[in-house]
Amino acid sequence: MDAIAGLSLGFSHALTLTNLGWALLGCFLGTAVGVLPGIGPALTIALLLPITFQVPATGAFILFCGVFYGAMYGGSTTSILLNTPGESGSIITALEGAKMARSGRAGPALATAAIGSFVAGTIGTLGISFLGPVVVDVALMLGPAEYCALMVLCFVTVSAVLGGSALRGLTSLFLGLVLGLVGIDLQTGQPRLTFGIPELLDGVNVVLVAVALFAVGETLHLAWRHVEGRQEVRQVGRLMLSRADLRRSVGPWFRGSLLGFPFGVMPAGGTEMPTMLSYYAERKLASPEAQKEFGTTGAIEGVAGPEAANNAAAAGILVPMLTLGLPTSATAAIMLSAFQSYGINPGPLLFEQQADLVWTLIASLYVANLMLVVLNLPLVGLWARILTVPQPQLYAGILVFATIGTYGISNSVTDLVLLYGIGLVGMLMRRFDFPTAPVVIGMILGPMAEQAMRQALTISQGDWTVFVTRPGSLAILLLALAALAGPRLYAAWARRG
Amino acid sequence: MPPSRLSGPDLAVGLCVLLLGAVVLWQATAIPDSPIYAQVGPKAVPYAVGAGLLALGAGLTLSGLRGGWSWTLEEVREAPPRNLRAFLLLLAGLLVNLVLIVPLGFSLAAAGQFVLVAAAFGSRRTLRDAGLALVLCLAVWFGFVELLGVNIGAGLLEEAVLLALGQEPA
Repeated sequence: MDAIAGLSLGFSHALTLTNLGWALLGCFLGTAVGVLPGIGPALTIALLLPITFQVPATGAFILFCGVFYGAMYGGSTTSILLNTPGESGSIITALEGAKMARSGRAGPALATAAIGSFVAGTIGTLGISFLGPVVVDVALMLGPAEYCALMVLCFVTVSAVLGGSALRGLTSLFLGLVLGLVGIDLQTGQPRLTFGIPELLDGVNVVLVAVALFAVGETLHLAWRHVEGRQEVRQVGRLMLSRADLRRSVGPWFRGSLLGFPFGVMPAGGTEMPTMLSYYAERKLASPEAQKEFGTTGAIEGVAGPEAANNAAAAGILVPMLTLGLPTSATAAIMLSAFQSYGINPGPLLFEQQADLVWTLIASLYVANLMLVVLNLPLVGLWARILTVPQPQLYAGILVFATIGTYGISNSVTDLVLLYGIGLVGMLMRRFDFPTAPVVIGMILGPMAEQAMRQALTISQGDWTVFVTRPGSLAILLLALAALAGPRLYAAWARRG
Repeated sequence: MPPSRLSGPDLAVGLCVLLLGAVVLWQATAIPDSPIYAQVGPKAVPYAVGAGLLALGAGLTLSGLRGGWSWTLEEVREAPPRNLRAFLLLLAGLLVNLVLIVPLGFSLAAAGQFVLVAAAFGSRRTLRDAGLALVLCLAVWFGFVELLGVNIGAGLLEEAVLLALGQEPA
């Protein structure tokens, strides 16, 4: 099905009253939870997963689209008004946005972030609609060997290319792989790494691990370094963009979107790179007067560009997630596990077998995007008020929700022990600068990679050379090797020369 | 400049990763041999992952012996002093929940946790927190059970409220 036919089918489903209602609810909840300090999009979606229990698949995924875009939007509000970015992609937004807020220009910063998100979301969603079917056509030609190679490439890029250290990134990834191994082996039915505990036969839940790392671990870390005193929430003030603000924002919105989307699509995952690049580009391109505002009173270009890049990259991540079933960010990994809980496996076949669902989902992304820009500017006062929830009750509340989200699903104290235990590990990871996203990604991709590898070897009758004799698989593996070794070789070369 | 002495905390992290690798290898040997024919059995990947962790742990341990990496982290160098009181109160909150959730039910256990966590982050109005916690936890419980249809066993408090509302506790 081509994009136009798909979209018209999708919109015919998405624009029914019920589905519009789900989208609205998703946008509202996503923003409200995403605004809370320290809660990024991945944790927002994980905490809101239970509300889909009573909802059919289509409604649930429309809800998610709203939550996904809403959480992204809410995160930028927190970055600007409180200077506490909830995830790595909004660190740059906090950099300039918080400075603008300090010099009394929080309103324009929020407005440019909101409209920039809308521009980026629209460009990103257009990208998904038209690029998705193309990727699917290519993906249908891939065999298990290529899939396995592709996942190895994902492993390398999410853990070893970005971040402070390849050693620590890979350790996080391997921790995720271990957690993914726990439970019954799908091919032979043998229990693995269960330590004889019957509750572990079903494996460890991805959502539990995400909530443990992002909510429990983060709260423990904050308590360990807690200093009494309240954070100051900046006043919003006038929201309107002046003519000059608008002129300075338009270029960055489009440049940021066009920069961010390809980064999201490539399994290079992560929103840090495009937001950083957009920030440096805008600082270079800004007029001499505007350049003086960077790092001092806060430049609007430095909010508009990176925020657009962040949102476009987040939308781009949906392309490999929907078409190949490969999640390259923690948020995408949680969404993938939500698909799996409905017995749906994203991948090229999804576009053929469940065309209705996929295109309704894509159409809802347009709807959610539009709803957010209409909703959020008038409601910004409400979101700012959520930020004033006092810290003690906020963190206590987050832990209550983390607990019921885990205990409610399984009624098992073992799961609570896991939640708190992995939370402690998460706190240590935070202290020693181990990235947490590779754990979640490794946990969900690990079992998929193992299945693909074993299928490939079954087809080749145990011949391991299949991974290097098939040209597609060889090319992808070489790319992974280059991504792993390239930056280090370059650094060594630069030091000598 | 990296410190020339070994870094205790970083070394400990490296050793923990080594230990984890060893545990994975030990558990991999305990996987029963599969009666089903397969080109690659269920043990291959666990062995590989365990070996990978051993290699990574060795790398981290070596780094720890040479001064570690914590000194490079701005967040660690500029961290405020550790707050043992807050940390222990929070841990106590988690423990209270673990111990009480089966005998007393979700609402009472989670409310206890709420009060302790709020106290950890500096709240001094314990009674107000307790009231807030009970209302919140009951609301969450009813939301999950009534709206989402999730079966969470009714504890003491939930049963009392259900009886007060004139319903049979499930």
